[in-house]
Amino acid sequence: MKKKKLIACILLLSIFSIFITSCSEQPKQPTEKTVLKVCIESSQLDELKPVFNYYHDLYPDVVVQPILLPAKKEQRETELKKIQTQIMAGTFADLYLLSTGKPFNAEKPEQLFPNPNKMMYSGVFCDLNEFLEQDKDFQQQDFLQPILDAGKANGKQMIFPLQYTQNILVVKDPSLAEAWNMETLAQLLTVLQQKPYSNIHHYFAFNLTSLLPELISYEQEKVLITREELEEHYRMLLNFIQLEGLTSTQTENKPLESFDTFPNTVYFLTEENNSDMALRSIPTMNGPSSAYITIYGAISAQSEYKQEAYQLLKIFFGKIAQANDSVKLTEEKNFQSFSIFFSDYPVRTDISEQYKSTQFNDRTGVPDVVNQVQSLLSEESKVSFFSNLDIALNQIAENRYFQMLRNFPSDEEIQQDVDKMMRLLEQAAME
Amino acid sequence: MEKRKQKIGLFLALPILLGTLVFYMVPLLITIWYSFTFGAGGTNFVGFANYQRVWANQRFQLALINTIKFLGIGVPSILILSLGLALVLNRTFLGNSFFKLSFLFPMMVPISSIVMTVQFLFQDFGICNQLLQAMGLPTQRWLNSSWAFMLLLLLYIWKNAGYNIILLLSGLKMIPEDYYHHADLEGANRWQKLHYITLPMLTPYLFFALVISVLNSFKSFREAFLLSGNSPHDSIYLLQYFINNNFENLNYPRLSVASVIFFSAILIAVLLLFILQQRKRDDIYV
Repeated sequence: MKKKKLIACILLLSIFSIFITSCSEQPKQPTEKTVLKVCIESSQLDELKPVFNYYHDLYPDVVVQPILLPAKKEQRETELKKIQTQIMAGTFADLYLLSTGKPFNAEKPEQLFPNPNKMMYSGVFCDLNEFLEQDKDFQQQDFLQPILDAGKANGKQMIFPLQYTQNILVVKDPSLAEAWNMETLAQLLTVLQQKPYSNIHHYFAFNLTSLLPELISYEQEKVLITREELEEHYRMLLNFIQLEGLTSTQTENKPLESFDTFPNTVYFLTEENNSDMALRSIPTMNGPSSAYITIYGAISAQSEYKQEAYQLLKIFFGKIAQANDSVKLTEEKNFQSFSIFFSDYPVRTDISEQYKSTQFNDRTGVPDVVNQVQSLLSEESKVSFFSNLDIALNQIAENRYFQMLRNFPSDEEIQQDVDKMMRLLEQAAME
Repeated sequence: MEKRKQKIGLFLALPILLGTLVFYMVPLLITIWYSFTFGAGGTNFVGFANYQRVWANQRFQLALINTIKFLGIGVPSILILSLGLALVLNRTFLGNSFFKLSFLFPMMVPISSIVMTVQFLFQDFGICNQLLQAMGLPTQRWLNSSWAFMLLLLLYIWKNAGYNIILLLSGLKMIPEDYYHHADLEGANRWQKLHYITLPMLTPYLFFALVISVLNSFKSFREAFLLSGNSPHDSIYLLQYFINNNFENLNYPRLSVASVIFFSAILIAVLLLFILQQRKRDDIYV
């Protein structure tokens, strides 16, 4: 009897060990058939294919195999769940080149990593520092430090940000531009309330989270804002939106203009008479402007080909890609312009000249757009990945905004909104 | 001959044994292993660090308290109600068969339509609030306040009581009438008969109903999720929410820890109930 029990135990343990060991194979050396699996959105395949081909030319032993996330809504949700299970089991792609979505995009498809800020602490991605430190081409000073820092967890570079976006306004009123020394959003709102500035109220209604201070510490798993503070900020914004909404119907003058993509910024500053225009950032409730990382790359912690994945990632944070360049690489190959993949602000600081030369060959007097935009980001800026938390919080404010077109919310309704927001924040911080 | 029978029995049971081993035991063991590791794939052993973090997590604490509260109120309520109704239905009266059948209706209705009905009744602009408004009474946020817990509890009792009633009713039918006749001759009253005959004879059925009720109470997450989505009111934030939301966040270690604790709690509860039932049965036969 004892023997039988022993045999049963051994059998159970051996099956278990087969399952466990199958999940943790030793890293393989690249062979002729090394296949690097890269997870991307299916809509971006056409743009990224030339880069993958270029990579294959550089490293003929490695073949890039794109793994596409479905675009169709009905397939996407189910497929993402399957993929998430695969990722947790330690198998799927070697490299992820993904976007997060943006505040003003009407379509907000479900993301593979709904909250990258949190994902950095889950152990799914590997630390990129081991590759960055050995890479002679990589210089920290060539990149925006606050942006890079946002991809760090416990000092480790878990995600490499590739593009970001920021709340930037084109100010056409010189007196306003000159007086733009507002340190907090409250100060800005006071100034804006004195004049009938239109066309920016939607910014406050649809972009709530970017105007709030740091909300969560994912490292400490706690909410940084109190319920009272959140309610105070929310009430202030609602009051302003109400005022702004009223004035916007009374004036056709637009002394402030907002945009949310880099090409738009460039277009605005180069096409129109820009002598009186100035770029200004919108501060958050208690400090400098915030920014969202919208495109990023990360290498799977379970990848067998981390070095190969890094070499490919490197192309994306390299000068050519960051300058959104369409230069010829070789006689046969050339990068298309990354108009879909890269539609926001570059994270490199040393591409100003290259950007000007490649983007505006036929124009003169082009302003140094890259530097102008990047200078609006300070060391103290709040930088994070745009996430499902932002979408959920913004949605609450958006719904309230549409209701406000009829009547201002009651105290009870505001309290309900704040309760809901606090619950979402607690969940995001601690789950 | 006996050995040959044993071998045939084992051979016949082999498919289900293997199925259980591969689809239940191995995933369970892997989950236990993952609860002691960090990162995807379970390669970095971190000891009890995950358990410490989960235990200190406020959301986990809230989920655990809510789950215990739900079990503590829901299971006794459903058992008492089911027993009471089974005792009533055990008597012969007009419409008895109809009532027996009607208690099974909730089990036949798809959960999504039940949830839709609840939303129709209890959402902010639902029928209940409209009625309250018509009567000049203050409206309630039924699904976004502590009322949500009561609603979930009612839904659980309504949905699962029918099965318990039928189960206990079948147990009542198995008690020989002679016992009651004998008790009548001895001059026992209704309570004495219930205490000394019905309840002891019903113990195996009550035990089974208890186990099923405990397991069904854990399934109430489905209703809660359909009613409130990923972020329910704090009062109905159950352990499965914590597990489910950590799956969404791809936090496998935390998900594994919560699952192991959850599994252990159910296992211990069922084992204790089993031991209790065995003792009770021994007492009866002694």
